[in-house]
Amino acid sequence: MSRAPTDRGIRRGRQLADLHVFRYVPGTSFVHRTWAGTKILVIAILSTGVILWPTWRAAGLAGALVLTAFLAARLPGGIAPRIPRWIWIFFVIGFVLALASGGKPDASLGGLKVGLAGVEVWARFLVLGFEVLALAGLVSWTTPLADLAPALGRLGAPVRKLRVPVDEVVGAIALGIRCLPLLLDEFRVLNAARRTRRPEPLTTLKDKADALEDTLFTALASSLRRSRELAEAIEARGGVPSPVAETHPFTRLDLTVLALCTAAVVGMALLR
Amino acid sequence: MRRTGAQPAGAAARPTHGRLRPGELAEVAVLGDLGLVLEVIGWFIPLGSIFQALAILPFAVLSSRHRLRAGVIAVLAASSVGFIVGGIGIVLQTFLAGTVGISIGTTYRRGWTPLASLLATIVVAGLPIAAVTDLIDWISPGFRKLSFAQVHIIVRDAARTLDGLGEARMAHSLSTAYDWAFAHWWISIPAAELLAITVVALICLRLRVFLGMVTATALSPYTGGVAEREEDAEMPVVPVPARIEDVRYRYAGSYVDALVGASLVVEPGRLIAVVGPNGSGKSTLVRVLTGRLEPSAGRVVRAGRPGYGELHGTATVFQRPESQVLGVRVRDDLWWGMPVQDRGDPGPLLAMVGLEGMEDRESSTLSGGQLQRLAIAAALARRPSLLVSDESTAMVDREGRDEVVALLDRLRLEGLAVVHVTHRLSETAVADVVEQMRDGRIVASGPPRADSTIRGAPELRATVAGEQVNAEQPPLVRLRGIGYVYADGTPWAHRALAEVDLDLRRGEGLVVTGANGSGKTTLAWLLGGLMAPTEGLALIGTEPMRAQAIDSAPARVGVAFQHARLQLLKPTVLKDVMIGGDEEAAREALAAVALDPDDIGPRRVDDLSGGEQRRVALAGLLVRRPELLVLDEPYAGLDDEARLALAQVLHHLRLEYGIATVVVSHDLDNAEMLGARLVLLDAGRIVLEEVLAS
Repeated sequence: MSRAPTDRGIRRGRQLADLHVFRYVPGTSFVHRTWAGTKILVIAILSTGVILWPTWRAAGLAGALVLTAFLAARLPGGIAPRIPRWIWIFFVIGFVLALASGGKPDASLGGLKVGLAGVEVWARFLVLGFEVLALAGLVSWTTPLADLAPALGRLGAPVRKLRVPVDEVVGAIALGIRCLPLLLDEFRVLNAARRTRRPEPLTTLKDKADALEDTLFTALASSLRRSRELAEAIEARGGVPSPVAETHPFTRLDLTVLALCTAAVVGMALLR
Repeated sequence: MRRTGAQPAGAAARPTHGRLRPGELAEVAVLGDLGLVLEVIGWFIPLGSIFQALAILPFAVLSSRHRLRAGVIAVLAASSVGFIVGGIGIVLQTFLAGTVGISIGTTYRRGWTPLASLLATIVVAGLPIAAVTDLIDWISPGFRKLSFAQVHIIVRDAARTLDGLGEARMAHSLSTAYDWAFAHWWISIPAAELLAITVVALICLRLRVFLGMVTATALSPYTGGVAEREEDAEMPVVPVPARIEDVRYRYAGSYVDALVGASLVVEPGRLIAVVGPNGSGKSTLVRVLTGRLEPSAGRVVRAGRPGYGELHGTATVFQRPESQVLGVRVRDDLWWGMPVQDRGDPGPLLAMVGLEGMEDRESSTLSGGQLQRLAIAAALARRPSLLVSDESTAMVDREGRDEVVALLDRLRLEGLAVVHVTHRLSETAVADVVEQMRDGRIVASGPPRADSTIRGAPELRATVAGEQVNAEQPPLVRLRGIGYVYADGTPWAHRALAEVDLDLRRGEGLVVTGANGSGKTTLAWLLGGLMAPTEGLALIGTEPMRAQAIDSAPARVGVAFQHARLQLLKPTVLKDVMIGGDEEAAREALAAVALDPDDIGPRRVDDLSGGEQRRVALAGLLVRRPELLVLDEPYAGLDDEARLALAQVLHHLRLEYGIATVVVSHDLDNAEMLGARLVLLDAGRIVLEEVLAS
């Protein structure tokens, strides 16, 4: 079955396909060799750190770690998603709003006195958000999709004692990850199909809402149809996903990475 | 086609406790994914909160069809994956959408009134979320202050504007209100959240209409085959030899028998081919054989249980390659659902199906033929005694088909009982017995015949070859040196097309063929104006191809996709076709694709067969009066009669309306019926071009 092509270039701004989330770039760096579970923990630790202490120093610490890892992973430049125009527009709007709110400290701009406190808060939020996204991107580019479910299974082992059906959740995650590319393909076809059926722009809000509803229903009906086929296939294999066994070793490298991140978070707490 | 809607009469009751059943697990995975994707889209685009609110829908649908356990597991799974994509923010959003969805879906399933549903949603979803955010804000004053600082910026702006307008009192009370909210954050934050959730839940009550629509369609939850009776559990697994004697079967809600007294003998070491058109009862027969349906009359004689999906039992390979591969990696798929002690060495198994050394490949990177062979390997991993191929060759290219049939032949020699269901007589040559079915009966049984032509096909082929195209007129479509590179400029860049030159005139029929991955579909998308070539020039008339799909109305090109259901946007047929025109035009378009508007117009699109859906999709394109129609794999999954009908429709469109048609297909069987000109693609280049002689 041929894969649905992306629709790049049809409309500016519609570049979801260009985000390349979860496309693995092979490599041998320490980032690639780190266990997937460790990377998930790193996301958890660092994002907790910046949520608890959202200071410039925390941003600096987290930024230094993420940047180091990025450099070590030797990812090619082409992976960066093209930033659509509307993001810049949002930046400008945010900046103007922040600038207008003023507050100390003041700066003088060609004789005009401008308060910078608003801009400072705005910039801090932006930088922290960007760092979290960059970290997620790094993990998704250096981790094969197939490694995620087993890693989550090992990480979830402690809550198994609380009678949480960890194996069932991990089974559902693994199956969900398997179906994700199929679903994205279907979305692309759906989007293209919708356009060939109804190319003229819709004007009234009601028309737009109706069209969105129609599209959603089609997506749902198609998903349910696929679910049926999937269900039959699952039944033909005995009906119960086998427990996912994690075989990737937890090495000294993982320990070092975790220790570094924990140290960074302790640093954030102390330097706040 | 499979009867997707009707439930088997003796089907197992809906599960109420214990592990997720196959029907639940499948919908948990697929609908959970849908919710996750909507969340992630919402995260990355402006005004994305619409999508984030829409993410409630999949969870609501899931919970309106299944027990609470399914909804909870879907939310846990989706938020785990969401965490890796976008961190804690997506997790919180997914939890919120999930709990609102579960609440709306569950109350709908239990028949609560909208008001009760709303209140329940506020209590179930609103209060915990308010408590959690309070907790986070309490632990982290820094985060709280930063969030408030954002609001403060806006409040300060507003206050200053009001002040400037001379409304000092209002400005003052606004600032006071903000100060109060900041001081009493543990009230103000949850209060704002509860208000937001109430608004969202109110909007979401509209979803109940949706839930009603989904319930009304034929897409009822898959409840699986017959639950094995307890006394049977003691029996050994012996699926063959099996004798089906005069079996009848009728699906619940249907007025006709799907099987009308069918008999069949299945023995080890023999390959039985079951052929017949769509809807003739082939799939129902193999479901009875594999123990998934209890016949309403007649009997099935076996020495033991069929052991469906068990070791040494019965294994089935299905039609759609990508929906039956369950593992992310080849290795995971091979052993999916098998206890570790039953697994063997993957090497020989994969070698047997020609996938040696591919253990660690991700299954999403395999071609259709490879996926189908992987499905067979996974079936063989259980060392079955009976292997059923339920139209497993319907959607793979010719090469893949030949490989699958050769494999089935080899397995028979190794002592398996093999049943191959197909609608292609040409695949039956290796069979010991060919059982021909029609209208729920076996109408002929005997050795394979050599003749595999469709009745009426040679005549149509001759007619198509005789089609006249005016070579004087300028070409409708001109492609000059076009090429396409996916993900250009990234590490994943790969070239799909290079230096393609092609002219197409009005009323001309072109067939584009080539193996999987030769660039056919890319060419179809470029011809449809759905994407712009990365190099070269693509013109329709005198304007660039790409522009027309969005700018000009009516559209000059229509593209019909392989998966026709995705192209149907309204729940019923006539309404769907009427998206592109008035009722009269819609009826004419339906008639043009040889469907009776009165009969099919009011029907639900989800009740139609695959072939009918494809023709309705075609009508939906025709109503816009396109000059060019592009069809991607229109033959996939269709039986001979439906193929002939489709080819006739296309011939008619060229002749009567002067529409140029381009059919992209890997299926060269009977491809000559689809157009007089043939282009062969290999590795993105045109390697052969030929015109049929009349």
